[in-house]
Amino acid sequence: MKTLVRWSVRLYPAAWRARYGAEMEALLEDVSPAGGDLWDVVRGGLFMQMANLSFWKILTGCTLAGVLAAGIWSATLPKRYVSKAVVRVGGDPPSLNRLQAAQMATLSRASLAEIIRRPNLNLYSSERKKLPLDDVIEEMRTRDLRIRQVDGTTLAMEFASENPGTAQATVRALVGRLMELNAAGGGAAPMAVVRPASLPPRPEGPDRRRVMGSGLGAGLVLGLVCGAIWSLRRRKERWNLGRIAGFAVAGMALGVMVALLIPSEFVSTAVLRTADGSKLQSAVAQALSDDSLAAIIRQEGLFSRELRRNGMSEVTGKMRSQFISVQVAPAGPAAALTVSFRYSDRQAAQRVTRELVKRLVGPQTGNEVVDAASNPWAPIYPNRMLIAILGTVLGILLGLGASRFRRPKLATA
Amino acid sequence: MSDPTVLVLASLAEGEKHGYAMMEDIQRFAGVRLGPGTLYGAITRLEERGWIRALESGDRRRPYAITGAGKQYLEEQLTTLDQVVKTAMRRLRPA
Repeated sequence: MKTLVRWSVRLYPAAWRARYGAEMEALLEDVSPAGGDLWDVVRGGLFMQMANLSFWKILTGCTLAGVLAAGIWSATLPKRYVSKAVVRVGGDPPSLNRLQAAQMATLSRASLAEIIRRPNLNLYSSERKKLPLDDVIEEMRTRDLRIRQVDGTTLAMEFASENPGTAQATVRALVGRLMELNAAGGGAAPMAVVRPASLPPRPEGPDRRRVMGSGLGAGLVLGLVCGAIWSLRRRKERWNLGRIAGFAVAGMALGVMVALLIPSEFVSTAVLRTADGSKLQSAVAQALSDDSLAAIIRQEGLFSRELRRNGMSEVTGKMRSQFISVQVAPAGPAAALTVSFRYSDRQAAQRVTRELVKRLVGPQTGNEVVDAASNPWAPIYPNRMLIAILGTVLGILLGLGASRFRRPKLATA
Repeated sequence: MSDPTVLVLASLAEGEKHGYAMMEDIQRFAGVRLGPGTLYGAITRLEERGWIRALESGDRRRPYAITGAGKQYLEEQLTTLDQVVKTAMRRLRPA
C-alpha cells in the first residue's frame, strides 16, 4: 500500500512535486498509509491538477479525450457489408420513365415492409421489437439502402448489413421486386440485370478514420469552449460571469419562448401509382382546382384566420402553392406521384392528404394507392431545440460583449 | 469543525511544526485525522495566501510557522465560530 500511495504522488503537477514532493515523501514514510490515504492522495493530486489547468492543457485534454472516446466507440460499431447490383433498362426514354416509377414503388412502405418481414431475410429484428415498422422502414431507406441512376439507362442498387449473406439476399429481393413492378400492368421496359447482387468479401464500414476525425473535431470544439470558460473564470476581474450567465439564461428563455410561439407544422404524405400517365395531369388539375380545395377547406374548417381576411379564391391559391406538394416522377405512359399536405394540425394534415388521394384515385383515373396518407407523429418545423440553443449561444455572446465593454464605475470621493 | 485550513492554522498557533507533527497534533486536539493529500492541499493553499511560511531546514521534514496575517485570519474564524457555538448552546439550554 505504501508503494502505491507513494506512486500516486506522481499525479500531482510537476511544479508542485518540485516544491512539496520531498516533504510529502517524508510524511508518507512517517505514517502507515491505509486505503483511505491512497484515495486522499489521488483526490489531492487531481484537485491540484485542476487548480493548475491552463487553456492549452484543457484544449489538449479534451481533444485527446475526444479521439479516445471516438476510437472506443468506433471499435464497438458493427461491420457493414455492402452488396451491389446493377440493372439496365433498354428501349426509349418512356421505358426509363417506367423504370423510375417501378423504383419509387420498390421504395414504398408496403414494398419494403414486405421485404423486411420475409422469413429468410428477417431484417431489423431487434429494431422491430423497439420501433414502429414505419420508423424501421425510414431507417432502411435513409441509412442502409441506396438506389441511384448511374446514367440514363442504368440503375445501381446497394444494401448494407452486418452480415454479407443478408446484404446479398436483400439486394436480390429488391432487384426481384423491381423486375416484378416493372412487369406489372403491361408495357414493361426491357430490363436486364447487368451485375447480380454481389457477396461482399470484406466490410466497407465503419469508416474508423472518419469517426476518429469527428471525435477529434468534437473534442477540439469542447476544449475550446471549456478552455475559454476556464480562462474567463480565472480572470474574473475582467469578465463578469454573473452577467454572462444572466444573458445566457435570458437568451435561452427567449429562444424557448420564440420556439413555443411558432406553431408546429406536420406533413402527411401519400404515394400513388398510375398505369396511364396521360390521365394524370387532368386528375391532378381537378383535385387541386379551386372548387375541390374550397370543399376540403369548408369540410375540415381549415385556414379560418386567413378566411377572415381574404376571399376563398385567395386562400385556395395559397393552399395550392404553399401547403400542397404534388411530385410526379416521371411523366410518360406510367408514373408514380407523391402527394403531401403541410398543416399545423397533425390529424388535419392526414385527413386532407387522404381527401386529396380520394380525389386522385378512381376508376376513371387508373391511379392506385401505393402508400396511404401517413400519420405525421413529429412536426417538421420548427426545430425548437435548435432555436433554444441558438438563443443560449446568442445570450452568451451578448453577455460576453456586455461584460467586456461595460462602462467603468466612477470613482467616488 | 473540519476545515483543514483552520485546523492547520490552529495547530501552528502553538508553534512551528512539520507535516507529520501537524497530523498528530490535529488528531489529538480535534479528533480528526487529515490524510496526506488533504494536509498538503491545505498547506499549499495557506502558503499561497501568505498565512503560513516554510522555515529553512536541512531535513526533508520542513517545518512551517503561522504568519501575522494567518493569526488574524484564524482569530476571525474562531470569533465567528465562538459566536455560533455560544448561540447554539444558549438555544439548547434556555434559561
